[in-house]
Parts: sequence; structure tokens; C-alpha cells
Amino acid sequence: MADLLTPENLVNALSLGALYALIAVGYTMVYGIIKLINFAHGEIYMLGAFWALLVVGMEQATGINLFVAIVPAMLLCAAVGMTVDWSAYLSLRRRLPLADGLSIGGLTLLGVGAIFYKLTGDTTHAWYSEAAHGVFGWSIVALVPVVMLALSIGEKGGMLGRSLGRVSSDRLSALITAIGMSLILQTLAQLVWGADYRAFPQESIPAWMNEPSFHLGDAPVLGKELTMWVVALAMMAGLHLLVSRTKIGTAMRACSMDQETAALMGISVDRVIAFTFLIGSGMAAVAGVLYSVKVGGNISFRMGYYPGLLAFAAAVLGGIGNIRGAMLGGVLIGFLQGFTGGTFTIPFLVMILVLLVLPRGILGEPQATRA
Amino acid sequence: MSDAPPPKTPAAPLPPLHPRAGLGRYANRLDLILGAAALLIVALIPEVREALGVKNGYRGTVPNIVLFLGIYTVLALGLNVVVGFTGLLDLGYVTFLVTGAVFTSFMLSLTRTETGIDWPMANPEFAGGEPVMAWNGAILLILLGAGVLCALVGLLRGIPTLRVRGDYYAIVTLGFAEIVYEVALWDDSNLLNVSRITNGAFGVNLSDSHRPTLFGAKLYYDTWQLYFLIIAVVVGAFLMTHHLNRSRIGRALAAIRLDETAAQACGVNVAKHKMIAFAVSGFIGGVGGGLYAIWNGTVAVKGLDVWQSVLILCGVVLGGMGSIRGTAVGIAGLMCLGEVLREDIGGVSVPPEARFLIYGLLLIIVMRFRPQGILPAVRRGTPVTAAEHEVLTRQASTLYTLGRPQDANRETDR
Repeated sequence: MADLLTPENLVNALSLGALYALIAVGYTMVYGIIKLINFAHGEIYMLGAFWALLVVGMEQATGINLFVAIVPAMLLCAAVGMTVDWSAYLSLRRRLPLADGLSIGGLTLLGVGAIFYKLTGDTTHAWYSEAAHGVFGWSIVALVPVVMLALSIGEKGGMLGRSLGRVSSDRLSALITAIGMSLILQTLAQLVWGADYRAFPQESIPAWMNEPSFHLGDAPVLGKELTMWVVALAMMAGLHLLVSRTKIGTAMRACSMDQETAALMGISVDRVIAFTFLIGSGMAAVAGVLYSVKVGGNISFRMGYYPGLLAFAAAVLGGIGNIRGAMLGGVLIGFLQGFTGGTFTIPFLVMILVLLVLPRGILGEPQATRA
Repeated sequence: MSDAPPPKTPAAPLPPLHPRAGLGRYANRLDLILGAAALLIVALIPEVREALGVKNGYRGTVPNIVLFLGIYTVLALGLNVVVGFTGLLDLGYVTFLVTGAVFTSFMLSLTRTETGIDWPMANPEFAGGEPVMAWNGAILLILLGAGVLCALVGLLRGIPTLRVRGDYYAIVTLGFAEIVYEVALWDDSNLLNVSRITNGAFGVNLSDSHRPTLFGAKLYYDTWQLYFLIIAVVVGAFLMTHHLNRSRIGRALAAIRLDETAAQACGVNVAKHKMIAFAVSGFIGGVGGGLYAIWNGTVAVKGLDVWQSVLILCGVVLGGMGSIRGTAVGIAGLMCLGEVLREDIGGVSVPPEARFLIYGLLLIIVMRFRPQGILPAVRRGTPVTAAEHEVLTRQASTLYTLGRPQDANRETDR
């Protein structure tokens, strides 16, 4: 084991810790309020890297600095996060025509966005390079709203049979919807950008990021690693202030305690939930950009899966629903992975063992299980 | 429960509650007929093809799809025990497929050499010899072993989730599946040389001499022996899950699904029944995995990633969680959809990677508009007749007497 405790591994572990903490807060905030494992969160992280890549130039560099590109990436990811909530989860929570409308609109928007990008952007990859596939793409985009609208109207007219309401667990439905959303985002990214591994162009990365800023023992800490730690710390501090000091933060905490009472106190619960998705997605986007810079590439449609899973393990480890727990869990999982040579086995194993000993996680408050 | 103390000796023996108990009451007759018809059609496919002039009716696209469907139906039925009956989301069901398939291929590869028992995987000095498990019928024993092993894996996987909320089960199973996937590819540079069993990224290839024998013939994808073995296992899985669902255990599982706390309050041992569900689900998955190994001839863990679990889950959700016939129809529909999407229809083709886009959309739309699936589970509450009501109210201290007797002639499960 001694050869694992090296300064290089420490630097790596700290970076991984920052990564997982940034993603894990998104999971834990959403879980805290709507009790849903948002499986699409890892995909938001992946999209963050892609949006930044688009801004700095996918094929040839546009000359925009990467740090500038983080801002549109955050904003776009926040928008996608909200779209995910509106197009998949909202209509499960609220059986209202407006919710269905938003759902139809959101899903169509994702599809149209993908096609629009393909038409205006490069056409070197599979989907629209062949007209036959194009017909498929448009027909899916046209079919989904029509089918959903028909089903929605049919349901209002009572043609889908009696709604079984709570007979099949609503929580299970939401989880399965989350899996579906994750599949959709991942496949769309693959269709649009292909299966290649990409990297940010060197021109967009400031030179100091690849130079050692100081040494930890005999391991150099590169500028990009230091940036990652500093940005992660700053965002954690900002999130803490947001949740503990501002009005919307208070509303978030109120919603996570008791949604019905919060609604009675005049809090617009759905708006708070959308805001939660927005904040969490923005943080995931930052993680996606910074970590892709750190590893120097590796941007592909698949990149969100393992970080998403490990970040969820981090959230569970720290006590799900607890923001400080997610930060702590993220750093712990990062250390576990960093010091064991990057395997997934050890972090998952530790998560499972922690569930055995401390079912509520490290910082999770004891709480009666509700069905 | 009731005010009056129960009489020491009942005044008169109570008449049986369900005089028609047996097949007629418990199985929907239409289901039985449809199932038998489907079975007959499937069994006759090869004969019909041979009558139409095909040399070997068991070889070809159609019988191969039937076998493929059969294996996935077994897996989906196993998954349905946990997802449908118990209401826990299992995202790592592929673990059982992998474990069962690897166990089967390993047992079949065991060879008696001059120096003892050896196997060819990752062993350049393998001398060859007589396969240990090639005797007629050994495969049944191996499948049973695969099932038992996977039942144990299911228990092991379930233990950490017993103390926590249901949705942790999803993440533990997913994490466990990733652990198994990673560990299966370990080689001699890691803690355990698992590649010695799984042959790492290359996968185990069953050679001709290591093929299992059943009814005097080596099992290949185009033999009648394997064809009917798979059909028999599908029927077995149907019967097993059907009886589980209709039993006391099945009712306990349904109670857990609807409300864990309430189930506990009613005296259901939640942990025990969850463990039973995990074990049964694992057993069926392990047998399915074993069949997969024989049918495919190659077991490469690399190809059995977590998307396989999502695919099976998709089938269960589409057909109707908790509904056995729904599960079968759902997985069959999904697999056929997958085959259709492979084709080029009128100049329109679907990019192969886009299939999961459609599956994702299906999951979302089904969950929003028809969470009970295409063929939902038939509600287990059959109307209580007046005579049964009479009997039930005479039985003191049953839950029935706590209910609303005035509703006795209405449907019980509303």
C-alpha cells in the first residue's frame, strides 16, 4: 500500500475530490427536495464539457479563452437542467395540462435543438450525413409531441382507462423516468457529436494552466489542478452562503423539510425545484469543463456515467440531502479513488459498507423512514 | 381484535372459503389458453419450417430470435420479482446474467488432465484432456448451480439495502454491477486473477469438446435439445413467478411495495420477504445467464455492461411492472422493436445508437401516461361474494373484520 501514498496520488485525489463534490451537491440538493435520484445529472456534467468545447471551437479554435467559455457552459447547462425537470419530472409531480405542455415542449426542444445543431454545424458524423437517418430524426421529433399530445388528451377524456394513481409506486415511476432522461441525453449527445474522444484546443487553455504553480512534496501541482481546487472551494462557499443566507436558500431548505407546509407559507415549490436543478446543473457544468481540462481531453458522450455514479456514491456517503455531507463525501470518494489508482471498485465497496454501518451516511441526520 | 373472546370450539366447521380453489380460480383461463397457444406455436416453428423445405428447422433467424427472446424473457421474469412484485428498482440485474454465464462457462471448461483438474482460460500450458462436466444431463446440474450461486449473490447484494430506503437499492445494485464488471476483467496485475476464470476482455469460448450434452447430443444454438431446454426454462420461470405472486409471500411483497411501514405494522417481516425476493430474482437470473452462455457459445463480460440491465428493465416497465404476462409481452415487444429498428424500411434507417433514444422516450412516456404498463397486473382482489362475506365475518380476529363490511360486495382493491 505504501507505493500508493505518493504526492502524485494526493494531487490526483484532491482533484477527483473537487470533481465529485461539485457533482454530488447537485444530486443531494435534488434528492433533498423531491426525493429523486436524478440519473440525468451525470449527463449534465457531460453536456457542460461539450458546451464549453463548442464555444472554444470543436474543429478549429475560435480564440475564446476557456475561462470565458465556462460562463455560457454554465448558463446552457442550467437551462438544460431546468428543461430536464420540466420535460420529465414536473408532469409526474403535477397532473396539470400546463405540466404536460411543458413536458412536450421540453422534449421537442431537445430534439429540435439536436437537429438544428446538426443542420447548422458540422455534418461529418453519422446522423445527418445520411439523408435516411435524417428522416428518422425528424420523424422522431414530429412523433413525440403528437403522441404525447394525443395521450394527454386521451387521458383527460378518460380513454386510457382509470388512472391507477398510487398503485404503482410514484417514487419508482420517477426513478425510471430519470433513467429514461439519462438515456435520451446520452444518446442525443452521441448522435450529435459522434463517439470520438475530444479535447479542448490548446489555444483556448492559458499557458499557465499547464505549468507547475507549486510543488507538493516532489509532485508538481499544475495550474489547472490548482484552479480546480480553488474554483471548487469558492463554489462550495458560495453555495453554502446561498443556501444559508438568502431568501431562495431558505425556501430551498423549507421545501426539503416539508413541501406542503412550504407551499402554504407562500413558497412556489415548483419554482424552487427548478432553481435547485438550475444551481446543481451549473455546478456540474463547471466540474465538467475543469475536469476535462485536467485530464486533457476525454470529452465524449460517455464521460458522464462514471463520475455521475461515483458522485452519487459520494452524496450517499456524506448523507443524502445534506449539502455539507455531499462535499465531504465527494472529497472522501475522490481520495479513495485517487489513492487506489483510479479503480471504481473501492469507492463503490466503501459506499456499500457505509450503508451497512451508517445507513444515513456520515453527516445524515437520523430520520424515520417513510414509505 | 374483536370484543367477544373466540369460542373454544367452533360451533360448526367453516365451509371452505374458495370452493373453486385450484386452477380455475387462480389462473385466468384466457391467459392459460393464450399461453398454451403461444407455446404450441413456438414449439411448432421448427417443424413447420422443415415441412416448408428448410434442412434444419432449428437453424435460422426465426428460431434464433425465439431463443434470444426466451432467454431475455427468463431474465425479465426474474427482474420482475424485485421491480414489479416488491417495488424496488434493480439497475444491476446484468450481474446475475454475468455471474450465471461465467459460472456455466467455467464449469463446462473444467477438464481432467493428467496432473489434475485444469481449465484452458489464460493458461498457455493447458494440456487438454477429458471435460469433467460433459456427461449427459450435467448441464441441468450446472444451471441449478448457477441459479443457487446467483441467489446467494442476490442476498449479498441486498443486505446493505435492508436498513435504508427503497431507492438506495437502485444505487447499490448499480454500484455492485460496476464492481462485478470491473473485477471480472482483473488480470494477474490485480489482487485476484479473475481473468483465469473469465478470460478477461477476450471472453470464454466454449470449444466443441466442452459443449454440454443433453439427451445424447452436444448443445448448440441449432439443436432441438437446446430449443426445448430454453422453452422449458421459460415455462418454469413463468410458473415459479406466478406461484410466488399468488402465494402468501407474494402478498407480503405486494404489501411491501404499497407501503413498507404499513406492511411492517401488519406483521410482515419486511427484511425476510425482501431477501426472499432477492434470492428468487437472483436464481432466475442465474439460470437465464447459464442459458445465455450455452446459446451464445462465448461469454465476454466486456459486452455485458449495465445497458443490458436497462434494456431488460425497459421491457418490464413497458409490459407492466408486477404483471407476468405483461413482462413477457413487454420484453418480446422491445426485442422485436430492436430487430425491426435494425432493418432498413423504405429507405429510412435508424442509426444503431439511436435505439436507446427510443427506449428512453418509451420509459418517460410510459411512466407518465401508463405507469402500470401495457398489460397491467390483474388486481388480485376478486369480489367477495355474499357467502364468503358470511364466512369471513364469522372468523374472529382477521383483518377482514376490521374493514368495512358494507363494502363486501364491491371490489376490494380500489
